[in-house]
Amino acid sequence: MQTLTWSVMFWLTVGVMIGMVVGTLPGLTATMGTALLVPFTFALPTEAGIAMLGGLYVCAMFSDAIPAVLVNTPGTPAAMATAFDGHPMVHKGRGQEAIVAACFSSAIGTLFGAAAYLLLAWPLIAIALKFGPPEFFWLGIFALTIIGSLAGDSILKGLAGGAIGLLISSIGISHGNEIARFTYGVPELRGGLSLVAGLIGIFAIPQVLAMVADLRKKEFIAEYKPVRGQTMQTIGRVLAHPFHVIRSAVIGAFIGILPGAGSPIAALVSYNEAVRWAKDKSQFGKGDLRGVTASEIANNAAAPAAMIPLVTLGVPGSSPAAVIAGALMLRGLNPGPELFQSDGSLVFSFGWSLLFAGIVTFILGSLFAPLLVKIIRIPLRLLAPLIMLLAIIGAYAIRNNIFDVYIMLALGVFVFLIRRLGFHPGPIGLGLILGPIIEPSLVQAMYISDATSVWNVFFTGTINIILISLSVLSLVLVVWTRHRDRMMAREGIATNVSPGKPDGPE
Amino acid sequence: MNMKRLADRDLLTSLMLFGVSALFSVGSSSDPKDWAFPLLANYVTLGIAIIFLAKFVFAAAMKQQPDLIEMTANDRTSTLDVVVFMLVVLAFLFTMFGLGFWPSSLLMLILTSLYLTQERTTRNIRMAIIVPICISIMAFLIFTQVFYVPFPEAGWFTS
Repeated sequence: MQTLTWSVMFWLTVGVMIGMVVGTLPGLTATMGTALLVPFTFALPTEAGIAMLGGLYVCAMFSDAIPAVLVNTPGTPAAMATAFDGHPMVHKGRGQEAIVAACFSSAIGTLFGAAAYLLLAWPLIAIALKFGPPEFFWLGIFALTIIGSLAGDSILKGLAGGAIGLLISSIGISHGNEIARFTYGVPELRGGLSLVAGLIGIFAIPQVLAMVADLRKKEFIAEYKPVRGQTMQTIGRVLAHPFHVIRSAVIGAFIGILPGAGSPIAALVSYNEAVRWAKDKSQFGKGDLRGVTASEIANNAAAPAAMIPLVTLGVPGSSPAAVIAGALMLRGLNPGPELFQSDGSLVFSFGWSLLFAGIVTFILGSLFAPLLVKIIRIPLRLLAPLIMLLAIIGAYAIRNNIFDVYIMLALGVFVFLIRRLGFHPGPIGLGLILGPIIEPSLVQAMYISDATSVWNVFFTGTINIILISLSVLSLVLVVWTRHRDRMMAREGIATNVSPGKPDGPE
Repeated sequence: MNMKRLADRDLLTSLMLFGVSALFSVGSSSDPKDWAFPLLANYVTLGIAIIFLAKFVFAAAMKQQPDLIEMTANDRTSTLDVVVFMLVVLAFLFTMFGLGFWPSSLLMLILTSLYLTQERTTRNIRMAIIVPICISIMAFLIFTQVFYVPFPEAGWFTS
């Protein structure tokens, strides 16, 4: 069996390094990076060329966490959940820890996803094939329950934010009869909003405007002092929660296999589960290391796992996997069972390449972490214009469309203003990401239900029942936790104001 | 009613949500499949807008302490900074079609960096000019020479 050669490892490392740049720059997605790299890989042998693309894909899934953590701007949609806790960690002076944790978690996720690819491809695909439109609909609804963790002080504002995100995602041609919705006669809106431009608008622009507003109060994003031995300490902290690590990896690998779901939904579901299973939920959203690791392990496990349906069935599990499928086809190789039988060595060599890419990503990420964290020591007066320029370039570059820049700025100003009303950008971003997964599944399931009944389609079947139960359980838990916290806060206030009560221990 | 109450957070939240709901008010189609999804999201928005309005009316009727959005002198200065910054960005979006993307980017970066530099020492002013030049050159090389992104070109000086 042919596995890794020095040449393959070299080109894979080059792919990893390009992936580091692609993921770090907001607006450049792993899909765009792999697509741009395809022509260059033709000069290489198939194993090396495909490994280079795989290396880029895997590393972009890590490096997208860098801007998410440091400047609250996800490099790709998959890193949105990483920003929820990663950026607050930076404000607490734990930026280096957050980057190292993201890097190590990415490596764990990649190794797990690649192991699943090498060992469990066929059994996993059998389960994934049971997912139809209703199951995807409920998976999206389940991911939507994460709003409970992101809502901040008001669950109603979180829900409203999610609804606004879903409404924005429904702009453009409908999935039913292909009619234009909410386009207001603007032709550019018929194609819908660019997800990446929308996310940059929701996360990066309010952040830039907040930096400008805070400029007279502080000079940098946060204070930072490099800590010696941070890498080993952080690895210890990540591994101190083995069940959390395994759960996140399993969720990521499984969702990665589902075609169309991809890394963003894997990260969101994993984050949601991390909050649900945690005994102490109070620090989530305020800088909990588990929030970063849950998201990063899952979105990286999803990347190699997305190759499983590609090599087993010929169906790409994600957009970058589709580009890799195209690269294989251009070389005269047909992804699918045929490839597994005729060119099995290539399939396994690619699996080992992905595994190796995880290790290279970890080494490079750990080495550069102290350097990368220095971004937060750039004075805000220089950093704010720089991020604004990168946001504009990112929003424009994704479709070469200046209209996306206008939309990004409009969304950014809107989110900046409503933050003063107590809205969190997370639920809006969540709605924007989940809308394109939930709506097509809902419409397709409604078409299926025309032939049978709504009950049969949506409320029967083991997977549907499991997902509905998990969604209900998640909602009940959110309501109960919030009620408990409110009661405890009230009791705390009552205790503090009760007259005659001694302050010190009795 | 006290005019200060118009700055109540619940009232403003409610008005904003009513605005969003109106913006996404559903059109007509013979098939509900085209509208079921946005309709559900819109009902949620509308429902929450009504709840916040009811909270505001109840608080006003019961003469409860309103949750007002305060605007201090510092906030006013910050708002002015944000407005000026956004105006420069909007001017950049206009000039990029005339001067070309990269010269306009450089101008935007230098102008905003200079405006945001509070402590106008020679070193800070030099930084506010040199850093944008370096960033523009790097971004130009990465996005045009590596990723081949076609940016808007200068239109004012070409016939």
